[in-house]
Amino acid sequence: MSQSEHPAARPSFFKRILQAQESGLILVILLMGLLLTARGGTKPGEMQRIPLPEAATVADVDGVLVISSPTDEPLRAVRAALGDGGKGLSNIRITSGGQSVSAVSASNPRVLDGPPRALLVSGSESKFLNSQNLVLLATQASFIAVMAVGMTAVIILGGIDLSVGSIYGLAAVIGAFSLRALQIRFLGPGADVLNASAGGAPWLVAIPVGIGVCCLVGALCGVFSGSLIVGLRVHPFIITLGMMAILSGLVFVLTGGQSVSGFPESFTKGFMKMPAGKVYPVPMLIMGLMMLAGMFVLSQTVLGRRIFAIGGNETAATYAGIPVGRVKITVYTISGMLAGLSAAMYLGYYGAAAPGAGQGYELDVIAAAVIGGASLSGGRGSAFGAVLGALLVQMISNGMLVLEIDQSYTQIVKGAAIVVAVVLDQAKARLAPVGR
Amino acid sequence: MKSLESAASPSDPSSVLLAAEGISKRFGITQALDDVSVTFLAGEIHALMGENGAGKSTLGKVIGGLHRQDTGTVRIAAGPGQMRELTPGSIDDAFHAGVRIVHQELAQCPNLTVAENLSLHDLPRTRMGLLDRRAMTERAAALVHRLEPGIDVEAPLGLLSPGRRQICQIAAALDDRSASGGSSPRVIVFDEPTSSLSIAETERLLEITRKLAAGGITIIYVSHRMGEIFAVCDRVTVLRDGKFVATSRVRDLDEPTLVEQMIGRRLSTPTGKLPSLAAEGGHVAHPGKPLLKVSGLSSASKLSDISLEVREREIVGIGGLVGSGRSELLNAIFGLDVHARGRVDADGKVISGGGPRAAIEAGIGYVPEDRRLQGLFFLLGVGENTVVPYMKRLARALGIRNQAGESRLIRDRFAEFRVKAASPASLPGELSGGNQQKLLIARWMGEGTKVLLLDEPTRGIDVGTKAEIYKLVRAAADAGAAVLLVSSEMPELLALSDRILVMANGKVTGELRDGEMTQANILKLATAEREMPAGQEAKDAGRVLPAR
Ligand SMILES: Nc1ncnc2c1ncn2[C@@H]1O[C@H](COP(=O)(O)OP(=O)(O)OP(=O)(O)O)[C@@H](O)[C@H]1O
Ligand SMILES: [Mg+2]
Repeated sequence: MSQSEHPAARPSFFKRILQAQESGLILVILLMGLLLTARGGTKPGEMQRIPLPEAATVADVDGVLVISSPTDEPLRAVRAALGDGGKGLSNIRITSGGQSVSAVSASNPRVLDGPPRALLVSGSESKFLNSQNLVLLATQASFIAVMAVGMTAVIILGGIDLSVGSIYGLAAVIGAFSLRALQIRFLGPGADVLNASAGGAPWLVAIPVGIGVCCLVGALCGVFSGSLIVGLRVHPFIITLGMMAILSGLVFVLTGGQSVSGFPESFTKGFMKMPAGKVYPVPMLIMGLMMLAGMFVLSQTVLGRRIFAIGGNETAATYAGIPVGRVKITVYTISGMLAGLSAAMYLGYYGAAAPGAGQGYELDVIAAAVIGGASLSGGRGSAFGAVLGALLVQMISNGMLVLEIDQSYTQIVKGAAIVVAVVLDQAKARLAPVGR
Repeated sequence: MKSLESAASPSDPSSVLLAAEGISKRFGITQALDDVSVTFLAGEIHALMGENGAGKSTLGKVIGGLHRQDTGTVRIAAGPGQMRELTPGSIDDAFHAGVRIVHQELAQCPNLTVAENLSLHDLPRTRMGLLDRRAMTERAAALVHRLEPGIDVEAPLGLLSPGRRQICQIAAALDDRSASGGSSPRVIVFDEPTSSLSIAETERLLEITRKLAAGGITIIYVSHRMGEIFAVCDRVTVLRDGKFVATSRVRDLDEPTLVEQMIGRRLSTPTGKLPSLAAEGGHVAHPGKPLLKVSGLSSASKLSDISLEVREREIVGIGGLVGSGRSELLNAIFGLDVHARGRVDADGKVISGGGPRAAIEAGIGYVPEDRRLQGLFFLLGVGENTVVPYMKRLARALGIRNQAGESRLIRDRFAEFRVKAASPASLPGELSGGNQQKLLIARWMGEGTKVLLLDEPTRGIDVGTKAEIYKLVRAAADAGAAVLLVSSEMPELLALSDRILVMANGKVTGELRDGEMTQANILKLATAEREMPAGQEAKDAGRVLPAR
């Protein structure tokens, strides 16, 4: 009895994050980052413009740029800008008074003639670890991550949703038609929607329409599959497999295989692809927001706990008076809606809907959720893990590019990653049977 | 009944077959076993007793190699005068040495047939290498029918009653594999084997137990049922809070002394002879208005035209044999049976057709029969397990949880029902069996519950707590609740009920009041309409739990 005096002894929110299995996942991501940085090699980075002093002469000797001057003094600034190079291979040599002072290897050195004379070189940077690549990685991951949050809820419930990719495709196409129709309405009939540089629908209309239509389409698809799963008592695998085929067929019927574009700029450059400095942060912000929302819903709301309860023991959930069917439909609806949201992000970011959009995404999304700790037998999973999982999955695709490995291997590696994640997860459960 | 004399064991009765020495085992902050030493003699039936969470199952699991002890050794006789140490934490080693465990919690594959479940370890093959169904069925039938002739070994196990599933598990433990190069059972740990058995099944099991012991097998018998301990056991070891208290010969003990050893104090109302709690307070004369009204409830072949009424401040017991439709009736009342026809009113509201939600909203609480399957969420903390049905009601706007309110409710219920858990975040799997049951009772009993449906509510609960729970049930009734109680434990049914309805074949076959409420009358009504082979009926009626 004395032991139960602990008040609701649940670890703090922050501590839970640290203790959670996600810490292992973070480690894996960091290790993989290190590996890619080390093995990925370098590529030309930004151009650098180094002014050359009047006194210096420049000559091309067998492909080596020789910069010389009688005294060292005027060359100091150049040396400082180039940095001290290695002793080995070099394509720039600096000599003063006939003596070689330093040899540097830089990519693409060129001399810009004409006043003022300057040396153009591009610095080299890691192919993986550069801000541009990392931002791109996070942005691409955000499309997957938003869907993975919904998928996690579905998997915790003990279900599966194979149709997210097709829902994404359908939502993108219908969203694209709506946005184009909106644009035509604002520009007037006959206007060239594809090349309207100004005008068009204002953001106050375009954003709600873009996001609203996509989410609505996704939600409707979710309600539909959820109702079929509950009403017909058919395994979600079957229903969503069917939905996957039906919806992707529908996309081709609707588009005729053509991509759809011509959206209001207020939705694309003005929102989803709004630049802030050199990055376009909106998709990443949405990903963060959905992650937080997912974490909150799963742990702090009645719905969230019911999802865990049903996934853990559906019979007991029925006996405890949980409206199992309603919760299931809700969760599939949310999953569909998030697929729609992801589609809206895609429309705004790329400015067009391709008819094949979303194909094969279900693998990435399920992989992200499972790598993030969702248990396919239900009752376990986390939104934070799902987002990390999405980052890892995207990192695999990205890493294949960086390492210059044939893209065809990407699927193989992703598949292997899922298997490894699940095996590790189970090994961990066996090692630590007590506690949570 | 005492069997030390009657069980003429072939081996020297005083020879030690198994010795647990200085066993300690810790789970997190719980010291489940603390330097426990017990010796088990060949051919004895040795009871392990203690309150819920005392460490009985843990000791059994250490012996069977399912848990690895932190310190101490388990040794088993190997050849004359020799003992061999069992590898700690090795199920294989223990199994080859002849140790078998019949677990407290059922561990089987419900989707496979009884025969398949019994042969899982070595499915018999034909010469072609195909599954030899005939051999499998025959072997299973031989094993099972020794205990319970009525079981169809080709039926999926999940369709059997919990009692029959339990029997199948026992049958599996009795399987002698020495012929096929395996080991024959030498030590069998029965962890609360009778908690889901009917009276007839119990009696049959006790008989088998005696026979096994007479054949030189050592039985380690864990049970909270005093009657069984005094009926079959030779010696009893009592554990308290993981510590060894005493080993005594059963014939040197009486029940109050045993209970005192277990709980460390004398119990005012020993369970064996519960005073009729119903008689206290004189409320029997004026139960209030009807809170639960069932009229014409039928469902497929399981229930036919049941009508009953339970009033405020009244406990109505439902007697009957396993399979008579008692649990089905409670399920139907709670709205879980979609095929049910008829009308159920709770507190003046029609709830039939509304499912469990409507039942819960009308103030019905239901402690179902099978806590693992129907009750607990093994991946959620014990705290959440308790508040799950009330989360919505406690929640703030938009379904956001009110965790402070939840914690308060959890704290109150845990204190009231003495649930022993390290913290509300502990998982139910970390609780002892009895505490899991208490957790379920804590979920459903409490203020706000107007109608309480209890299906075998004290399964696996220790004597002391059982008495507490009886008092709590009585108190809930006195406070105005209507209670419908299903129990196969006669003393429990007789002690708690104000009146008893007896069911057979999905029908109510009679009602017993006051002086008519006796074990014999219940059995007479329970077997009244039973369609059974003629001989079986008489046997079931005649076998009664040995009075102590
Ligand atoms: N796997 C586990 N993890 C954590 N704690 C455990 C675990 N198994 C048992 N315990 C704890 O060890 C103690 C002893 O448990 P045990 O199951 O042996 O009790 P018991 O005597 O069999 O009780 P009961 O009569 O209720 O079955 C309990 O406090 C229980 O909570
Ligand atoms: Mg136990």
